Amino acid sequence: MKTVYIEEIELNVEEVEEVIAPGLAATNHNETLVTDAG
Amino acid sequence: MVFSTPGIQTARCDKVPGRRKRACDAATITRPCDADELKAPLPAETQADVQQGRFLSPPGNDQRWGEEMTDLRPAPPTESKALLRSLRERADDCRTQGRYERSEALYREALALAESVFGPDHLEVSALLNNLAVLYKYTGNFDEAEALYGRALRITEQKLGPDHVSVATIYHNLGGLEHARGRYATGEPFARRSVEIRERALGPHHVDVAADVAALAAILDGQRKYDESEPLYTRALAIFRAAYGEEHYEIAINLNNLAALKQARGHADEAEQLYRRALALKEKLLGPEHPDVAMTLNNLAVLLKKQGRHEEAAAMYRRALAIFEQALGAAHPKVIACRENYARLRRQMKSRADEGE
Repeated sequence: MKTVYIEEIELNVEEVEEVIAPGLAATNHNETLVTDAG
Repeated sequence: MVFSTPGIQTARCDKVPGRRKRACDAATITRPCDADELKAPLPAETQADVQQGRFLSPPGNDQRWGEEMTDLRPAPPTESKALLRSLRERADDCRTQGRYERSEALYREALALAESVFGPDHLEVSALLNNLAVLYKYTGNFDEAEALYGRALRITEQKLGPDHVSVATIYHNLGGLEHARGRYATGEPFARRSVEIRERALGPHHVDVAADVAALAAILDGQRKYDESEPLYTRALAIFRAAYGEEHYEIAINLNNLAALKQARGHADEAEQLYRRALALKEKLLGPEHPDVAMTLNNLAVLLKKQGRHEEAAAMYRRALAIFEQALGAAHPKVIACRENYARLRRQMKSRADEGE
């Protein structure tokens, strides 16, 4: 079993999130499609 | 200094205000313990707790520790995390490129892996649910998208709180789903909520806020609230230009939308200029066969037809339809709308030809 240690205060939250929990980055785009009303 | 005991997942993140819950969910750090304890195998009852995801009381009855311990699920293997990341990135790329079938397969694979590794209520899962739902909006699977967003929203609000920017993202997307359905009034409160949350968190000039503002503008535009919509497009475009320059996907989308608004207000010349800039930009950024290119081709064709430039319009419709059908299939709402537009033009052209005979 491998033992690691981490400086508690040095935790880089952004890196951790990037690797494990990416967050909700994807947003859709509301692009207009025009219909010909005549 | 904190030693880490393999297999136990929790976090301390006092130094990052506002990100604490998320980091607690994500990080893999464990309770303080001494070196001798680390050498020993986990007690059987602890292993059972870990395997079953039960809360493990810390030694010394440390209340702060208790508050910060959120999950004792075994830490996911590094290989699983790397595979998950790879799947997610490839799925996102395929979605952006308009390769929707491949993107769906990759998202489904990633989702199954994430659920098995992290459990069904993890932020990793909610992120994938959100991204897959975005894909389903583009493919016209609106009911599936709605169900996935609902699940993602529940997880995200529970884990991060109702005012987190990730919650804003889901509201943004729920508004977009209603936009795609043509239910603009239903989508408006979602879009307003996303702007409200993110503007409070990031300030009024952030590009993510600009994206929310642009999405709201489109929803207002759909309700013919042009006086409110137009300045929102202008505001969003100014932020995007300052951040990205002229050549960016966000610029292309919003030039198309601003053109459609100008067209609706009767400013045909200005609309045509904006459409052509959007079209050139999309072709350059996305390639000539991307479905977003077909959107602007369709819109420009409607404008040209109205000006009596029927041959030009017909050529654009034909190109748009070929792209749409290839990417989305014949039954997609955008394809149907484009086909009906083209059919109307052809009827008018035939009628004029008959009159001329």
